Amino acid sequence: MRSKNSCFDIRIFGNALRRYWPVYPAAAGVYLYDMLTRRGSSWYGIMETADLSLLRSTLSSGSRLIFIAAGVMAMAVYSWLFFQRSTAYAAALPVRREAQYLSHMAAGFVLLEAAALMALLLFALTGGLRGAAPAGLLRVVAVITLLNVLFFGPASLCAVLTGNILILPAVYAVFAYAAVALEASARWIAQFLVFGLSGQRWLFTILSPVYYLRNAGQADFLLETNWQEVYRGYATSNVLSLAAFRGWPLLLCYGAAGVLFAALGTALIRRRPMENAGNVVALPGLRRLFPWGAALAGALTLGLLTLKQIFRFSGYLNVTGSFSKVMLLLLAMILGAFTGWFGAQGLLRKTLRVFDRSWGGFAVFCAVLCALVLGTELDVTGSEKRLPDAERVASVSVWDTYAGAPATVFEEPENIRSVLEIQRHVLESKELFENAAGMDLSAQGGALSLVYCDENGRTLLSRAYVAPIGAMAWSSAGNAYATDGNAFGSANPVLPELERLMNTPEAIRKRILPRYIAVSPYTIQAGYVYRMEDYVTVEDLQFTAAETWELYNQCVLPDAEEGTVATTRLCPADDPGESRGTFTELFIPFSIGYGDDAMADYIYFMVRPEAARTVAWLVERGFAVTGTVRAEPEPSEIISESVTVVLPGLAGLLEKVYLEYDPAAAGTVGALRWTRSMLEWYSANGEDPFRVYEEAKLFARTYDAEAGEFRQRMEQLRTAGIRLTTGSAGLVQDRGRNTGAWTEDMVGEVFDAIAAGLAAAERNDY
Amino acid sequence: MNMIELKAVTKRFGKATALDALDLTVPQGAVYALIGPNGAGKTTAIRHVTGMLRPDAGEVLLSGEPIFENVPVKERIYCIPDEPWYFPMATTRDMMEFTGRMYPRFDALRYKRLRDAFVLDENRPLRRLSRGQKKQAAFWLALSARPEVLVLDEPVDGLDPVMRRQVWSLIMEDVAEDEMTVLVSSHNLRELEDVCDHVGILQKGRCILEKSVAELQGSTVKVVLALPEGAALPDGLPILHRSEAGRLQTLILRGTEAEAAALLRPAGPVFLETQPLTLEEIFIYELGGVDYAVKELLL
Repeated sequence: MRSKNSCFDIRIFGNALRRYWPVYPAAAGVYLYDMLTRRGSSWYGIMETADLSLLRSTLSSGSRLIFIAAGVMAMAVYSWLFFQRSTAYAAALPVRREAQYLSHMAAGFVLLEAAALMALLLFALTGGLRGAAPAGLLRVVAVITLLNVLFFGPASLCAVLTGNILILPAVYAVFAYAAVALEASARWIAQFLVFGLSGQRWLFTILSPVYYLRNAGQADFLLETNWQEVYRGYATSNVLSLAAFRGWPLLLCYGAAGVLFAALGTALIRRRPMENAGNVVALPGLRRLFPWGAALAGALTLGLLTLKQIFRFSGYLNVTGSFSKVMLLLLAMILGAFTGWFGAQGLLRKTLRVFDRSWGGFAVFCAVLCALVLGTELDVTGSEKRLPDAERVASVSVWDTYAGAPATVFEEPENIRSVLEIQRHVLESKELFENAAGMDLSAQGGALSLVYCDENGRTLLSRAYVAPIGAMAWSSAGNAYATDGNAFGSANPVLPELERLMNTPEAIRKRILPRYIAVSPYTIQAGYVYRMEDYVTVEDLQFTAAETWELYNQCVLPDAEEGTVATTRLCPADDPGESRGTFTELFIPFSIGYGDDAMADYIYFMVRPEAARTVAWLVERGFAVTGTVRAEPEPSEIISESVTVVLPGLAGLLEKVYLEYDPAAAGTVGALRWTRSMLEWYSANGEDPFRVYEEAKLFARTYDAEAGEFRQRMEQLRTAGIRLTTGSAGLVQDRGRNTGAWTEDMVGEVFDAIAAGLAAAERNDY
Repeated sequence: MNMIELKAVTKRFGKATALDALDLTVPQGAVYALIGPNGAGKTTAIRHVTGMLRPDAGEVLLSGEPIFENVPVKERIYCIPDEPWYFPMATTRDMMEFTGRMYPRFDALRYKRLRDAFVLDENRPLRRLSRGQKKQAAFWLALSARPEVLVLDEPVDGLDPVMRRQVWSLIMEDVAEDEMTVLVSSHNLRELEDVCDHVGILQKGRCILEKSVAELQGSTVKVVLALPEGAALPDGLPILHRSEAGRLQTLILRGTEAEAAALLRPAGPVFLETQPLTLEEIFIYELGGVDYAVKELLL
């Protein structure tokens, strides 16, 4: 086909294929390596058919490889755009620029596709596709094609935007991660500036597909597994083949976006002055925008570094910024903007002498930045003080770290109004909270999380506040945040109200009723009571199902009616002993159904002396303090350096507990302290809770099933897991406490993953 | 008939104006020398003619049609820049095959015939060749493409004297036989003088002079004369440049030899001789008239 006014030139296309083919086997080799390393791996301990396994890995690790391959391919096929001589040669050829661009794009895309198909073919030759369904393989090919379009489109556009081949990968990476980076930065800084802001949903990560597909665990989201089907299929064939692929709408949208970016590149190539080859920014219009973007990136980057490295701010449940801290943050952001602005000027003008002009634009940027930061800090929009209209609130979920999980959902109007009143008091005490710079959240403070929903279940407002309601806050000795007079004084408005709320009939009723299973003699499985002193189990007793039913029906329910059992104490005057981990707790598991239809639930609550019937029943059965206990070591002592290889996330927690935690020395509450300290340990090592979550999922999904080491570790984890998940105050029950930064869905997924892994370990099937 | 026309072409790079309403006309079959001091805009003008650059204002035409993004027009133009570019790893044969596909008038037979003229291993990667050999390969491909317009930017830099003569000979053969138009930019005025029939002088993005060589040489004359003692040059002489060595004066005057002699004869010179100017002298004296004179510096 001869090119006159065509947008495609077969001669250029063929030449590009001949010139840049070496990228193709390289990419094929990397794809193949990835397929081989994941070959035969299981997912949550369940083997999958080859096509399903391949689809899962394509969506997760494969998407990242395709992203990289598309960037490398763009550097190769558009290399003629980045050098004066090659650009001059190409521009002098009797071919339209659009035709040259599109012909190179087509060649790059064909090579990317060929690489993937070649890798698949070679993988098939190694037997990797044995048992794969043809339709499933076609689905994999279609997904690869869409991912190629998704990533090569923007890569092609980036090649038009910049004139420097070394800058292209940076532009491409910025393009790919801009949405999530901007959102994350904005969230963190907003959480620092806005008192109580927390728990907002991630809205824009979907615009960073390489992150979204790989890091947000979207393989699970896109491949929806029906666990009942899994176990049924697994029982008959030992292979999971039933998973519904929900990803087509998303991937088709991504593919369309890729085409759109490619079209934009085609429209811009004609406007791209060829003399800009070699320049950082190739399009004249973008040259004006570049310093602004760089200044924004610099301001956010240095702002985040200041939050993390100087203020040790981890984004959630942290003490928010006092005004002096905000000014320091603003100063850091201005410094970052300065670096970005004049760095960009240097790149544009190819000189370090950039301070002679362009101060005006920088001043405007700083003025806008100051207005935004100070306006947010001073709550110009009133978002901090905004409370939902009580008439619109259908339910409010209240969760405080000391009262424990799960959160209590209030639906009675009077209680909803009480929650609003409590929040009002917290807002009035803002200054006190913000100045609590040295507060140790785990020891002195707690979190009060409030989520208001309307009658359709939509969130009206979500806020979380750090409050001095933790154990140490009850003692005034050397504690500036104590509640007995030093900080709040006797007129502390928050704790009494919160305590009254948490002991309303509605709260107690919800605390003694399992969420999913009706209480009956047939659903109660057993009962377990234990007494802690200074966080150590000093006495415990188990009951049969019949005994527990009797206890529940004849003692707990009447006591609850009187408001004497399952109560919560937050004020020091009520029970100072609880602040030191001294209390009695009753745990009752429930279950219903068999086999595939089985469902489990549990309740646990405190038993205090005023619960007359319940206490009498326990005493009658000989529940009393017996024996002696060893002192439990402090968490800081337990975190030894003997473990050199730590598994990621919660798996790491479990393993460390198994390796170093002495169950004879401490009770399950000790385990809780353990996990809390471990979470802090992860945070101190630069891991935020979301990262821990990601790693836990990654571990659960991708660990090599065939490795002998894995078998051994899974056995160890099983022991540790059983200890922590079946104990009376085990990790599962306190999931909310230890994974406070995670959303409900995230928590559920991680624990499901661990539970599935443990189940597989129990069956000795990996 | 005019082959190439630049009409009021303006091009700016940032705040710098490279071409400032440049007008240029290259007749068909001409060998047109585009000369000027460094930074005058020669390469920028050439890049407009090859279609690489789009003018900010004005028109760049070939046979009356715009060149930029006009595929049929660009098929008639072949350019050899000062440093030719080749695909990485490509051999001369690879480039020949690509050029053959891109230019419809490419003559494979001529490519074979020219193999003797250029002493090159066509299967050797071009990146391994010397600068001069790369230039030879460029001429080999260009002449095989049989363009109607050949655009050359510093064309023979790097070529040895024999190869220079060889190349120019081949080009002039095409000019004579096919009426090929050649637009050449070079600082080697001695060489251009031998081959060019038209000259355009650029200064600060504008064309300050555009004439045929014959016309140019006929309109400026160098006069060497000695006047009697006490005699002075007549008033109103069109002097471009004047120098003295004792009583012997050298004048560069506008006009023909006869006109110069007629103007000077009333002064009664004891010695008078007129000589034609070289291209280099014309370049120097014309630019001297627009403030680009050779500075006599004492260091």
